[in-house]
Formats: sequence, C-alpha cells, structure tokens
Amino acid sequence: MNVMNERPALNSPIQPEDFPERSPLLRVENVHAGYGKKEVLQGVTLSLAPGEIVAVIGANGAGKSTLLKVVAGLIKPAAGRVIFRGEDITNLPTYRRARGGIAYLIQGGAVFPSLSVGDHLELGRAAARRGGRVSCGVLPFPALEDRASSAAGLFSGGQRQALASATILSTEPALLLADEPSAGLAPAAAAELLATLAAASRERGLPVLWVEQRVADVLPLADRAVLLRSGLVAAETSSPGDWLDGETLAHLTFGRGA
Amino acid sequence: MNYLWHILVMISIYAILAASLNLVTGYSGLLSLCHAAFYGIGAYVTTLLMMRAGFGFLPAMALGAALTALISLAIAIPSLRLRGDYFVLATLGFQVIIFGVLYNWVSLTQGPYGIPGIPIPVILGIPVDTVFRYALLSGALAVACLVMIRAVARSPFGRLLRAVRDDEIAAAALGKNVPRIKITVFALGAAFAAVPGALFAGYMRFIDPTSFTLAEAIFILSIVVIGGAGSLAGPVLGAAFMVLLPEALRFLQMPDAVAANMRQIIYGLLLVVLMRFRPQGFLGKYGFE
Ligand SMILES: Nc1ncnc2c1ncn2[C@@H]1O[C@H](COP(=O)(O)OP(=O)(O)OP(=O)(O)O)[C@@H](O)[C@H]1O
Ligand SMILES: [Mg+2]
Repeated sequence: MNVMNERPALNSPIQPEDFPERSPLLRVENVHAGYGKKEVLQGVTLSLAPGEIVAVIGANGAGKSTLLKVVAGLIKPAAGRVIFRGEDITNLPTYRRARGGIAYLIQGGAVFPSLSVGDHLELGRAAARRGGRVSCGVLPFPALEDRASSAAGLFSGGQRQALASATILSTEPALLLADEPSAGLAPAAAAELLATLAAASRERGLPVLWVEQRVADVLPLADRAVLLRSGLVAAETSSPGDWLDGETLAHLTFGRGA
Repeated sequence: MNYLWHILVMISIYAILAASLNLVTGYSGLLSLCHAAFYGIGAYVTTLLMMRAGFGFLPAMALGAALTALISLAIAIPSLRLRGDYFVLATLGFQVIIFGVLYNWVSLTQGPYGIPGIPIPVILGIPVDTVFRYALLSGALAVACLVMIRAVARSPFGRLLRAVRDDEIAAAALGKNVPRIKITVFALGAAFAAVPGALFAGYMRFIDPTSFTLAEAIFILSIVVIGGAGSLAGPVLGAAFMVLLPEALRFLQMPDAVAANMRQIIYGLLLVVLMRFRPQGFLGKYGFE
C-alpha cells in the first residue's frame, strides 16, 4: 500500500481495514487498467459500504470513467481485483455483473433511440426479474410521463439523461455506477437530476459510485469523496463538504502531479 | 393465368427470404451476406432428404430448417464476437465457402450438374402438381413464416433485438447477453431461409449451385433495403417490387439480352437513388447508419 504514502495529506485516507466490522459492498483492489498499451489506472484501491454515496472527482482524463468501466466489466484490469459482495467478479462479463445488480449509467446517457420510454422501462423490469429483484415501478421523472410512447431517438439531451437514469433505476440495482449523469444539462436541470438520483438512492438505500464534474453539486450529496489524479487515488475524505472551498478544490484538481 | 401464379410463387419465396434476413439485418443490425447460403442449404437438405431418405416434403423442409440453423452456428459463434465490419466479411467468406461446397462435393450434391427429378411435394395426400396449387402452398407457407417473424419482432425478444442494434454496451449493462442474442437471431433467420429453399427446390424440381451465389445474397439484401429494414411489411413489398420489375421490362418488349442488362442497371440505380433520398427504404422507419 505504498501508493497511499504518496497522497497529499489533505485528509487522511480511509482504509477499509479501519472498518473491519463493516464489510464493504464493493472493493476495488490495486487495479491497473487502460486501453491497449496505455495504462490509465495505476493501482487504484477503494471501497464502498452498503448504502453509501461516494463521489469520484478529478480532472478530464484522470481515469474516472475508466474506473467505472472496470467495475462494470467493460475493461478487464491488467492487475488487481474487483470484489462485489465478497465475490471476486474481476472476470465476469458485463451482463453477468448487471444481473447481479451492478447498474452502469454510461457517460452521455445511453438510451435506445428506436425504443419508447415504455420499452426502456420494460427492459429494466425484465432485468430486475432476471436478477430475482422486484421493480418498484414508480420513477421520479415527471418529464418522461407524457412521452411514454415516443421513441427515445426524438428526445432532447436532458430527456435522454432522465430516461437513462429511469431505466437504470427500474432494474432495482444493488449498486449504481453513475458516470456524469448531469453532463450537458442546463444548471437547473442538472441540479434537479442530481437531487432526484440522490433521493432515489437514499430512499432505496442504493449505494452509488458517482463520477461528477459538477463538484459543487455532488459533494454535498455524498457520504465520501475520492479524488482521482493521473490514474491514482490522490485523496479521499469522509466529509466531502470540506472540499467545497474553492482553494482546496483547485489544489486537489490541478495541483502537483495532475 | 399460370403466369400470375408463377409470379406469386416467386414473390412468396423472396418475401420469406427478405423477411428472415430482415430479422437479422433490419431488427438486429447484423449485416449478413450469406443468406443465399442458408437458402441453398435448405434447398439441398430438403431435396436430399426427399430423394435419398424418402421423407415427405414438409418433414424434409422442417428438418432442413433445423439443420440450416445448426450449420449457421458454425459461422455465428466464432464471428459474432467480432466487430461489425469483420462480421460482414466473415459472412461473405461463409457464403463463398458454402457455394464451393455445393459445387465441389459431387458425391452428395452432383456439383455443377445439379440435382434433377426432385419429386413433386405431396401435402396431406394432395400432389402439388399445378402452378396454381404451388402458388397456394407457397402463399400459405409465406403467410405462416411472416406471421411467425412478426410475432418474434413484436415479442420481448424483438425488443431486445432492437436494443442490441441501438446500443450493445447499454444492452449489456442491462444484463443482456448480447452475443447469445445475436447468435440466436442469426440461427433463427437461417432456419426461416431454409423454407423458401425447400419451396424453390420443389417448384423447379431441379437445383444447382448457381441459384445460391453471393449475387443472390446481395439481391436478397437489396430487397430488405428497398422494402425497408426493420419494418414488417417492407420485405413483402420489396419482394413484390423486385420480382415484378423484370416482368414489367418484359412487357416493354425489350430484347432479352438488353432486358437482362437493363434490369441490373435499374436495380443499381434504384439502390443509389433510394439511399440518397429515402435511406430507410419504402416502408422502413430506420435507415442503415
Ligand atoms: N476508448 C479509449 N481508448 C483509448 N484511450 C482512452 C479511451 N477512453 C479513455 N482513454 C484515455 O484514458 C484516459 C482516462 O480517460 P477517462 O475516460 O477514464 O477519463 P475521465 O476521468 O472520465 O475524463 P472525463 O472527465 O473527460 O470524462 C484519458 O487519457 C483518455 O485519453
Ligand atoms: Mg469520463
């Protein structure tokens, strides 16, 4: 764990070893991963407890999406392990992880352009049934209600993001990986989407590994925050509010080694 | 009158071919250039089962469909994990290989000489021995196939197919086993393509490999594109159009040699014009991206 020693001492990093009694839902262990020869993640370790919202922040290209792709199973790590509910899932394909309850909200809000809102939710519910879960049905997105039968290909960016989130929630996930769900939205809409997701998470006790550029919006909603820089966990905190003052953030994001 | 019934037989055959390819290419977004291979395998297997094993037409056709689906797995399993453009090349290779097998496995297929004397289908004790009866048989089989294909397209599985076509990664993230879905629909499309193969063999009462070439595979694909990929009625309309077009040219009293070339030119022009002004085909909702 010499990686830890290189972190700036802004906040002392939390180690899962500090909480032996609280077994983590998800544990990413010393993961190295990248694209072809390019190594993006250079030994990332983090864990997520049941019901916890963990914000992952960092500059563009820091490796945030890559981290989520590793957890979702879209990228096989070159080294390290991913453990979910005590089971090593490092080699499971994406669809098996999804059936196990790991939901992945793709950056840019992936929807199926030729399918209607109803079709999306039906796919989500089928996924829930397949994983032995029951979909609660009520989805907190009023913007979608009067468009239930129109094809997603005709939606605006904001409607797509809302639909992507609604679809993911309808799978009744056990863990949500959210990659910038608010990207491209007007500030008000973004804040609303974030609040909706956070509320949905709190209501269901749904843990979220949450990548977000809108740091000021996400930090107050999170239980913990992790800063990624150049493929490493540069810092983490269990009082994310502390990172809200501009100076700390600027230092964290653009400081040494960025 | 027989002429009209003949046209109906041909439209039925091509409507089933196009509708089955539409399931694979239109709904699932898998561009396949080997549909004529499955058509051919269906024709040969049905013929051989009837002539060498004494099967009746319908049982031979059903077994032929099952075997064609099985053979399609040989191409689907290794190549459907490849990226889209490599998959297209793999199907092209498969089409050429199957033609080569039909042409060269002389002890089984009589190679370039073809198989003459295919028995007349007998359905429920009634010999299908007039063009009118054959039109009834092929029309009935076409309707049955189209109804089944429509049921698949409208089922939850059909919704999955469109989801996979739209976004594979998002489908996988919803717990869908994308490779298995693709393999399943590919095999299903192959099984349906065997039915017109059997119909063709029983109608012509002679088959040889030249009916099942790459050019034929491209012709079937053009029917799907012209009729409208991913639509239910598109393949029927496309088949009617593509079968009737050469007949219309014949009425213009064009000499045969000219008409054959004219037909190719018109097909080509039609595709180019359609892709420019209506990429989704006559009836399709979604174009090829
Ligand atoms: N598909 C890819 N192929 C090759 N390199 C990639 C690919 N995706 C990302 N990268 C590289 O990996 C690095 C990390 O990318 P990643 O997408 O994880 O960053 P990010 O932190 O999510 O950034 P952003 O905030 O812009 O979304 C970048 O340097 C990027 O160039
Ligand atoms: Mg990203």
